[in-house]
Amino acid sequence: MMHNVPSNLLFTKEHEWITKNQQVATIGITDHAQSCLGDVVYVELPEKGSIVEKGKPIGVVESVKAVSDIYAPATGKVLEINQKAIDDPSLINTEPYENGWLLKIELLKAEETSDLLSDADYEELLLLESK
Amino acid sequence: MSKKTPLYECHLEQKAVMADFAGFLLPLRFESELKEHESVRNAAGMFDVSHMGEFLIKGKNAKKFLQYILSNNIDNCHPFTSQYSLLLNDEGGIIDDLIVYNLDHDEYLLCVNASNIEKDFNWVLKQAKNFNDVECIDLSEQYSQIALQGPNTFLILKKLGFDQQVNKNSFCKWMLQGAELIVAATGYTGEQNGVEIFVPNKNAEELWKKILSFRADFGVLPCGLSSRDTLRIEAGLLLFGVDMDESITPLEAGLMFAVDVNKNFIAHNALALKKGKIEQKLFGFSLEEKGIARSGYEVFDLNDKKIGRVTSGSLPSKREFALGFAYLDKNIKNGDHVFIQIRNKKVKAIIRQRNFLKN
Repeated sequence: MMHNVPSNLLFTKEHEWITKNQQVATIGITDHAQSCLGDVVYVELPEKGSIVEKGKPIGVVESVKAVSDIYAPATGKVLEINQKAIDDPSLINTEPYENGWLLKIELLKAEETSDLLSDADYEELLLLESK
Repeated sequence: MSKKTPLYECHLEQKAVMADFAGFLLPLRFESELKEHESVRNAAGMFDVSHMGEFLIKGKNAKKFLQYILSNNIDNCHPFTSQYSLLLNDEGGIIDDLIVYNLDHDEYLLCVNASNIEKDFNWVLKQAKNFNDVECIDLSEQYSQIALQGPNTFLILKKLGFDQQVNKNSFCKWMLQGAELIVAATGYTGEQNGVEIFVPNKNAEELWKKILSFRADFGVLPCGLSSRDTLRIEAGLLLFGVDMDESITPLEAGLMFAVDVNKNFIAHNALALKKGKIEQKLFGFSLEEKGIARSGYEVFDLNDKKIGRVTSGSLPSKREFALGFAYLDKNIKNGDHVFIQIRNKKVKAIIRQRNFLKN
């Protein structure tokens, strides 16, 4: 199944995305991730002002059947969380890269994003995982 | 190696997300489990339940035999009606829950959970050794089963040429293009209108596709295991292996409505001894804050004392707060408040009747 993988984003192995080259980065989960989850019914995000650490779980996305951890792609301070997605979790299914964004952070260690996956790398990962 | 039902190819054609359940490959969901749940409540939803087991019990002593091994009073299961019943061991432990159908002329059909087919059949054979004139045949491989549930069920069946009156828990035979089907007004969704159709394997695909052809007219959607779970939780129905097992008696599980305590049957003495001595009971709950309580999550009273654990839990479509069942200290009452540990937070919940459709 073909999933949307925008070329202007960076990706993690755990199927999160993060915007490129911005001091204030936006984070969400990928189209592949929402497709695997099924209907998203609940989202839990970190508090505004808290610090999130790269690689650590920072919240959850819950479908009808399962709980899925969200991992921070980079270290930063939480500036904003998407209340629209909290109120209507279906946005994460219908617009994972647009109105289904999850949180915005101010990067504290910008160099950390250098080992994240490019769109091509992420597509390759999806191909390998589907085998 | 997982088994496929005769409807496997149909599910792939519909792009279902498949999953293994009790050794069978079944649809987990089609497009959206929320939409599937809504279709059953508002229009109609269809489930492939071919994985369930079917045993034929026949002979002059079939009734006497079933009266001994099953919990409910089979005298109340008249010809062409069905009855919910429990297979109990001699300690009162639940081996399985099932539906028994009185086919008349000393013949009964037991429909059992897929995960217990082998265990149940071995148990039935073992018990039957103590009776003459009882024959037990495992028909599980021969029958497919399609459940059609929701307000438009009988409108759809009428379009297919089925216009017999079937009262709740009754069943009848339906000749469809040379095949003999059994249409039973039973279900696992809590819907007043719904049927479970036993169909020979070779006719299953045609029936499935025929019903689906009414999607535009009657809103019927194919439904998977995920929506099946949210529907049954909302209706207060238990799932073997999740809400009960052989370590649990009907006293704890709140299933005494399916037990005739006066008849002399395999678990009579054990249940009489255990009455009033149980430590836990299965309650319904709904959260009072956002979140979802799932299987295994711990439950605490308002004094922070652990009082039990969640067995089933989900957030069904259109519900504001999550629902579920939990085994809790027997002294808990409906209306009590508790806390459920969801990750690092204690979330407030209220205890209530398990059938969330009725309260």
